[in-house]
Amino acid sequence: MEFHTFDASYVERLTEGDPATETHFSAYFRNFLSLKLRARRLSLSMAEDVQQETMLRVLKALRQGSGVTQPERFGAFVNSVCNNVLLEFLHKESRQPSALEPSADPADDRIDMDAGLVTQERKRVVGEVLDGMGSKDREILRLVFFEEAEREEVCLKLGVRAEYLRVLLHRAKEKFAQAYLRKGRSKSEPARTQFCW
Amino acid sequence: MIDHEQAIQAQASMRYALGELTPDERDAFEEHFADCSHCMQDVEASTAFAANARQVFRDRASVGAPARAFPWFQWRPFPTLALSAAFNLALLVGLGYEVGHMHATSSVAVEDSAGAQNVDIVPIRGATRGSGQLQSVRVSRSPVILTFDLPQSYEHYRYSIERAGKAVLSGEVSVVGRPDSLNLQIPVARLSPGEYRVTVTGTSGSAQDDLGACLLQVETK
Repeated sequence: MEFHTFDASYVERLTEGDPATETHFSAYFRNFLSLKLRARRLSLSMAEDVQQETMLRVLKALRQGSGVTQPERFGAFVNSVCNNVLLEFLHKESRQPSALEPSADPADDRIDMDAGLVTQERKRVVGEVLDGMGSKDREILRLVFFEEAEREEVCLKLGVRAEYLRVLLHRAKEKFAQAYLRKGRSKSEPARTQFCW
Repeated sequence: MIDHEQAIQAQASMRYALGELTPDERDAFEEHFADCSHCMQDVEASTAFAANARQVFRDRASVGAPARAFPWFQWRPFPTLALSAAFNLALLVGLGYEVGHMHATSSVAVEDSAGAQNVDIVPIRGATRGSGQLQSVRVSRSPVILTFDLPQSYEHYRYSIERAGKAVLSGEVSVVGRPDSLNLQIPVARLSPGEYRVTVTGTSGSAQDDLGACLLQVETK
């Protein structure tokens, strides 16, 4: 996907229903909203509903409402619409009795959240990045990603400074991005999960 | 809202992907990266890296040793097959662990109807690489995601779930772009106990290829 800066021309084309701009809008903000909603660990079905409603309201605001006052901050506008939609959905859900019952042992939804992001090819690339590291660095990343240990705890346990951990994480991610996301992206896209029902 | 320099300095993308930002920091960063293509790409890369790293460590923990412990794979004549065998080994051990784990926690899962459910992710061997015997996936209650590798792209993808030779469910799989794998979520709770055959095919024009198949053993809840 190509990224570009938003401006008055983009918003105008979207308002007028230009097909190419609509396609870009849909792809770009689906991506943004899925990252945002994933960070909040919403269920897949609710995330999909919030996405749809947000995009619908944005287009409605452009075509039937007052439009956008700062076109160069169109992304922030979509984000604020999403925040409103999200609050409404969460409020609606909290009014349902089942959602108010505290869970004795919350289910681990991490696997579910990662489902659409994990592929054999990406795992292979990550494996190569990890295997290219020293055993201590690999152990640091294992503690961060697998054990989900706090950074302070990792630093204390392995005797490294916070800055070292910061740089290590950055370099590992960059190697992954260069090896897979940037080079391989033209020929492959992340998988999405298809539901049978 | 924070600016781009602040986001870089704070390593906001990775911290966002790892859920390390406070709610206020998270909101401020989202307001920024909604308009910042660079940061959005960075969040995407960080999120993908974190998810796959978790899974790699999980796989390695399942087999009890990192892939480096099998250096002979690297010089065998067919490294791809060796790697595939390693994945399959990891799958077998991992699946065994998951089944045991699922059994041990099933009572909690039954009681926790309001919470999100565990979902098992099971890679399915490609149809052409199998030994003729179908891979068997044993499930009891939780939904399962079957992952099929897509060595090449097709115009259309279809799935079929059959029981005793009769199609229980089938349909077209919606695929965007050229993914390298296809994830099919099976809500097992809606299937009666028994044995099902799950098949995914790819078609382009008149050509049709089986991309993978497995036996789904749905056990009594």
